[in-house]
Amino acid sequence: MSELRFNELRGEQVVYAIDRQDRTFLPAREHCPLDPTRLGEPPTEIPFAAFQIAVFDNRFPAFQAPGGAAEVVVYTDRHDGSFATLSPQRAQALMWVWRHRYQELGARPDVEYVMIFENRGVEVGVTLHHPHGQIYGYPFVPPVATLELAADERVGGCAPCALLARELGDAQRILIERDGVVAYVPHAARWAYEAHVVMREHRASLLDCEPDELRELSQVLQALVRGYDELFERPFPYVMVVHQASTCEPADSPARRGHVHVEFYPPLRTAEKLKFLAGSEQGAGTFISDTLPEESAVALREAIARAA
Amino acid sequence: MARKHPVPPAPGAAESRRDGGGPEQRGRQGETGERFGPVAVARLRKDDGRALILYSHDEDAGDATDRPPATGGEQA
Ligand SMILES: [Zn+2]
Ligand SMILES: [Zn+2]
Ligand SMILES: [Zn+2]
Repeated sequence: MSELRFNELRGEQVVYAIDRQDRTFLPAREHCPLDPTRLGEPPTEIPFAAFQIAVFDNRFPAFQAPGGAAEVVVYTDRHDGSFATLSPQRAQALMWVWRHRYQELGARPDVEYVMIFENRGVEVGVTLHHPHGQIYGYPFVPPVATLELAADERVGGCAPCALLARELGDAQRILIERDGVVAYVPHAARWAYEAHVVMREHRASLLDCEPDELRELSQVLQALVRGYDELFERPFPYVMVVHQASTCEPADSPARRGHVHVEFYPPLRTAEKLKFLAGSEQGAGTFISDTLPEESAVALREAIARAA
Repeated sequence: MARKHPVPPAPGAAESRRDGGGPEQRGRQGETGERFGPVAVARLRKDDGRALILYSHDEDAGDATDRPPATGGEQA
């Protein structure tokens, strides 16, 4: 069971999930807990010989009922590959799984914010290579979500809508443009190859998206991560996070404020060099970047085209 | 405005789980027939009580052959 403590100086919660110390760390290939269960062998997390997408309660949860939720989302029963290598149908189905989890977890009284995310690569602390993501149901609205709502106040409307209009007007940093979904390197990216994938229409949550929009979202996400892998011709580590409305209010309430977008934070600055969060980033909260977003966008656009 | 619940959980107040109530209580072993958009939803419970949900969707011919992984490695 984890414990929350409020860090007064930062104005934020810190979660102590000490059981997680014992969690499975990069097990041998033949002992992958996210594989299907093979005949005559001990059951994995999924006691079936085959499956498509599986979601289960994390065995080492940062949050658990009645104080939130922590789930694992396994994208495929095939150990090798990644989100980028899923079939288009599977990637599209995954968007519906995300939507379903947002709806269900968001309906729970102990979940105020549903965050769907994927950590990819040992560079961002991945402990299992099998293609998977996670979902946290926070029992509070975390600081980044609060900051995005503060941005709405600052711009006097939906900030993602305003930023998208600005990026489309400027056009220099656009990576992929579709009817319902746009990907770009943000004007003030903190990471060298940061990218945001944004619904073109204002959609507070995945529940508000049309089926065609979900399909396009899966296509744009896959095109982007394939471009990432192409960029330095290596599996590209990233943190991928879905931002949408908090779930403090009932699902049908207009008070659910947000705009669905997916943010990628890749730690690589070059093929070998990692960006570390050091003095300025940690002590001052100010990112120092050695790469201009416009230049990253050119490189990423070319990589996305090569990977298509 | 109407909150989903009147009292947010107090920090550190969480006690034992599986005390009932949540939507996770709906599922029984092997319940079938539930759909959500294009995906079928099967709710199960693992031996240790944790929830397990299997989602399945129609696969067409292209689905059987995923793209080759960028990392190489074995194929099923
Ligand atoms: Zn595996
Ligand atoms: Zn908006
Ligand atoms: Zn965001």
